[in-house]
Amino acid sequence: MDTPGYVILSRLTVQNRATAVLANNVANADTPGFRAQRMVFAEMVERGRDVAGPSSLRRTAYVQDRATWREMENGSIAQTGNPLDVAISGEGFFAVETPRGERFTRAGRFSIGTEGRIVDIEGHAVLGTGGQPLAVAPGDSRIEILGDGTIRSENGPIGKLRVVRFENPQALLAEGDRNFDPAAERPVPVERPGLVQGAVEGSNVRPIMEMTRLTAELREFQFATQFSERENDRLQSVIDRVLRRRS
Amino acid sequence: MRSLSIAATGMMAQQTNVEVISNNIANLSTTGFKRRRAEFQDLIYQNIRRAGAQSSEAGTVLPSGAQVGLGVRTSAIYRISEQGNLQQTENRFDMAIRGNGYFQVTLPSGETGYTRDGTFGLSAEGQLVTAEGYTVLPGITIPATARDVTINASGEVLVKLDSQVALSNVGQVQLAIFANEGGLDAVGGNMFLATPSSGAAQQAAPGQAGYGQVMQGFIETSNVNVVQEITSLITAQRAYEMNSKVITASDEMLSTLTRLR
Repeated sequence: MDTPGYVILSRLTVQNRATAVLANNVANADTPGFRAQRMVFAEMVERGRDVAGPSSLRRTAYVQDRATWREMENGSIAQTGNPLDVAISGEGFFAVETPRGERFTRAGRFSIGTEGRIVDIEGHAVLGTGGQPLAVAPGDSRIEILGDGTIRSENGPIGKLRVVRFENPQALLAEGDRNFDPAAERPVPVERPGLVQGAVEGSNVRPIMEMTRLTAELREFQFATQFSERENDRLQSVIDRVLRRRS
Repeated sequence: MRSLSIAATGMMAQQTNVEVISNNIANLSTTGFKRRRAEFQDLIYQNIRRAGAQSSEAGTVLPSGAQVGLGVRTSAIYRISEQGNLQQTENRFDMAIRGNGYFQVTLPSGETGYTRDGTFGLSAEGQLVTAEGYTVLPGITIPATARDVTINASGEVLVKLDSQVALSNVGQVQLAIFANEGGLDAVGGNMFLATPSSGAAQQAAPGQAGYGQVMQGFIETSNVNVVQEITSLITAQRAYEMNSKVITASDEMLSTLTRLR
């Protein structure tokens, strides 16, 4: 009897999570290399059991959060003037070495760590094409990064940045710290990555989209709760009528 | 409601951003000041459904997972060590560095401090000191009888003494460079200290490969760009507002829920 209530409940639950995803997008609007996420809804159909009548009328569709979809278009590129900031103008990810294994990031905010190693903001070594960390010599002061990822200083070449792409970037797991866990995906090296030195890619969060969606989500939530109230009224009136007839 | 706490992390991050920007603007005319920028990164994610998990007994797998991120945090506030403008002061002991490097100064604690602020003067003993009176290394004494002082691009201090025709060399200012300038620890008073992250100071005379040149009679202004700071301030303020809007909306959702009959 209470099926409508449960359908509404499923809607409110996933709406709650969708708002959390949106809040995370807004909070990370200023995070370099961040990719906005969307919740994907799906209906979960339950066939009615032990009820008479045509089966098509006896189906209940609940709503379910099937997946989060990651928007993969590029964020805006901002000039920073720092020689070790690199933005990827096309497709691809940089590779960094973390204690948990190789991780991938779009945020090319690098600096020089201990022993001259090129590291990301957490101090993880940035990897070169051979999968080895890159290091600058103590005497190097002018570092130049070319469009294809070659790094060189006035004393000669240092190495080449490893830039990779994935067949299905949706399968990557965001891990925090701007890194992505490749999970089961296999990285494929990008031949001509198109890097820009002295610039950093921002997030691809579009504030207008997020704010509009927030308003829409709020209204949908209110609509769902209103529906639940109507349903409550309807049940109440049914009960009242039944009781009146009895008395 | 997770969205409340997520938006709160966003507001805290933007708060830090505004603090960094206001410090930049406050130090607009601080000699040798380097502007700073706050950097953010995403917090950990909750996996509601993992990509690649089995979705049915028939062996179908989910093509992409459902992940909810938990917000943002400040990861670093880094200095942008772009060269500031050089401003002429006509003061003969003022020095500016054009290019890489820091002046070395002995702090009262005995440590060596590093600074780009070349507002120097003389102590009672005729020693070259900073505006605070700390000795500039390697310790150069200008004789009281000196009529004129010239400091050349390689930091050599040449004085004209009354009795001599030729200028005499009384010392050479040394510069220090670091493998990772961003790792220096700012201690206020335009002063920096070396840390394990910055690496040890490498000293050489100005003008050598990799080192800047010294310019007498100039100081380096801050590298703060007002237009840029105001634009970032506007962006930060709007981002703060957007996060607070998310909180308002989440709150409204919650209040609808509590009013539910």
